[in-house]
Amino acid sequence: MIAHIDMDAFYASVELRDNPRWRGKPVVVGYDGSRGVVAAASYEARKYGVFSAMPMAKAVRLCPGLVVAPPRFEVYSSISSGLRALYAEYTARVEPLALDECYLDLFEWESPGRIVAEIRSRIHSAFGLPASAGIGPNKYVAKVASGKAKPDGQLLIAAESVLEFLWPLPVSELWGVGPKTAERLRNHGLVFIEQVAASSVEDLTRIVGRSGADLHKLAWGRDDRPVETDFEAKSLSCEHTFERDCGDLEELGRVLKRQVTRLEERLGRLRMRAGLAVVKIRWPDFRTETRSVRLRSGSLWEASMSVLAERLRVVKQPVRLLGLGVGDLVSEDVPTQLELF
Amino acid sequence: MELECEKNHLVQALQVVSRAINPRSPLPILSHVLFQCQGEQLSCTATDLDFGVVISVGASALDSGSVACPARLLNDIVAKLPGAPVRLKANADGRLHIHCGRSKFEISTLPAEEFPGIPQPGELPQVGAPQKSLKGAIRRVTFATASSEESRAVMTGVYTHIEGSQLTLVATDGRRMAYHELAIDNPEGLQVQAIVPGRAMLELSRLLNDSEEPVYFSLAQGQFYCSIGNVAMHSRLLEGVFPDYRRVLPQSFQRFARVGRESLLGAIQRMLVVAQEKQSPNLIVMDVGGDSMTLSANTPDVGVAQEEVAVVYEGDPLKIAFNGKYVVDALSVLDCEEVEFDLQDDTRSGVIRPYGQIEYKYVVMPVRLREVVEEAAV
Repeated sequence: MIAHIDMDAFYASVELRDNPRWRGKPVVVGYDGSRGVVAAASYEARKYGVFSAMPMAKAVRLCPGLVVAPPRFEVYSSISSGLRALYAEYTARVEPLALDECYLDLFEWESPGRIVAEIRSRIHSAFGLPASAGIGPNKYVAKVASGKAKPDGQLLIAAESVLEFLWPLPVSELWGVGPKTAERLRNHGLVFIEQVAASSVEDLTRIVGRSGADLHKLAWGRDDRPVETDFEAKSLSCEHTFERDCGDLEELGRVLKRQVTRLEERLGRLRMRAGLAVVKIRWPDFRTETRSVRLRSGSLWEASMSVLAERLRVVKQPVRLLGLGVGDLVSEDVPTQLELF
Repeated sequence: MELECEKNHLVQALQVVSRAINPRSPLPILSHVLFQCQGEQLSCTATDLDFGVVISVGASALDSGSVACPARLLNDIVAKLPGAPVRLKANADGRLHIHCGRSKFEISTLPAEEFPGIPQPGELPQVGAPQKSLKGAIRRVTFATASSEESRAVMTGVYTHIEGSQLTLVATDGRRMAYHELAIDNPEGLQVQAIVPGRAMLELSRLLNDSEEPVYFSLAQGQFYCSIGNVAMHSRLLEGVFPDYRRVLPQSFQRFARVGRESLLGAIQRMLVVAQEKQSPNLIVMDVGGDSMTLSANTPDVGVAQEEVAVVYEGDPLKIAFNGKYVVDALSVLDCEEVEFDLQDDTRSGVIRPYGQIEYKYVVMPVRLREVVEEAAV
């Protein structure tokens, strides 16, 4: 069986854990400001209709008294590493999807439900955080099941009950079906997964295009993708949208410095180093440019700052969004040519 | 313009100026050589606006004047002419007539007025150095410049420092650095620091011979000027700040290895055959201690190689890795019997120099091996 373990309202739960005075209050994580978005919402906040990816201004309007906690990615990220270390005690086959989500291949375990319960209880005692889990014969079923198990629960779908579980669900629960595709399916009278399963691949292809065959397979609970353990980051990035367009090189430099620090920490945890820096700048007219520069050892800050300063000098406009990415990642285990300067 | 000239003179002149011509230049005039003829002299000029050469050869002017001729075409024609005097005549219609023996050519030209102006050194203070030693110094330094695709343009040049009776040349690509001191004749006490493009240095060394005869040059007005016999060259200097090379010249070492230059060079070249790891190309590990240096290369999927070289060694044993190509580059430009390879530790620079000499130093940074990273992480 495969388990999908998903932390409940991860960032918000971490903030609630670390700020007991907020317990019982609606809490979101994100930057407070006209351009901020909700990165995570606690279950209390969700009662007010506040969800992640919602503009912060709207969230505050919907939910008076909303607590807005600025994100602390370094904390989330270190918890995430801890979680992975815990999973690794049970199986070598772990596929991280995000900081708060993982697939675990549990085919070696006779009673995966008991193992997952144990993992969740250990997460609770070691990190003080709630996690939900879905367990199923494949990734797709496990993921849908974990959604149904939330909050703080687990749901095991045995191979023989897959169709019974899936078929009454709306088509939006099919992987890859967003609001537009769901609408298109509904327009053809396909509201529940069972109806998709009953359609022919040809009909589905006519409705949704090439993904028709995939939808048909999913509707029959079939998904043969293995848990990918050899996942390796190829690039990392972060970005910042300014409250007000910013033309002050010093302030831009401070933001960039934070981004450099964050990326360097992430690289450190992955035991990787980068060969390329990519600076992304969005100007007030929304024109967005990216500039890459080869990195020599230890110069992410210098390289990215000189690109930023140069673009600012040339374009002579304030910056709406500043992003920094690193690419050409290689393992730290690869020998490094050291530099003189 | 009308003149008569020995074919060999013309061939020589066109070969020398062709070095300054960029055949892909978007400006047609820059693919031309400027002929200026007066009295007994024909002067030929070519430039790419950064670098230019003027050569004067003997000729008999029948009618003085000047014209710009397509360099490549003229070179191709003249090279194939029989060994007889060549007569060149520029007509008012913009055609150049070439007569030699029974051959006749007629080619298009451009007006001399279109040719860009060439900076003139005038009466600048000059310094002099024996051609042979300057040529050697350029050879031992210039290879360490960075290639042009590197981000720091100043590192494509050779830092040139004149003070008192000493000329210092330094080149680096950020990972290795070549440093050379040279005694010069500096009658006017010129004191200057400049960055001469690596290309101009190489062109200069091509013009130098292996004699003790001095060559004089000057660095001023943003230009490097030098004349040797009938050839004068100039090059725009690179602007910018050269990295502080003094900071990276190690002051002390803990380990000293004296080794035969050719035996080390040969051994590393053999190791390089299998050092093909994509992510760390040319990686050569040196294990030195006692009286031997063991070199090895290991590329999974390709193979392994090992060789022992005799050394006279002082210091604790050391395992250090280098980009073998960097070491080969330095050993190849030296001509001494033995070199001294002075080392600090496995993460700090080493210095290669001809044994018993101090004018030349080649600083090279090692490659940090995996094991070291793991130890550091614990």
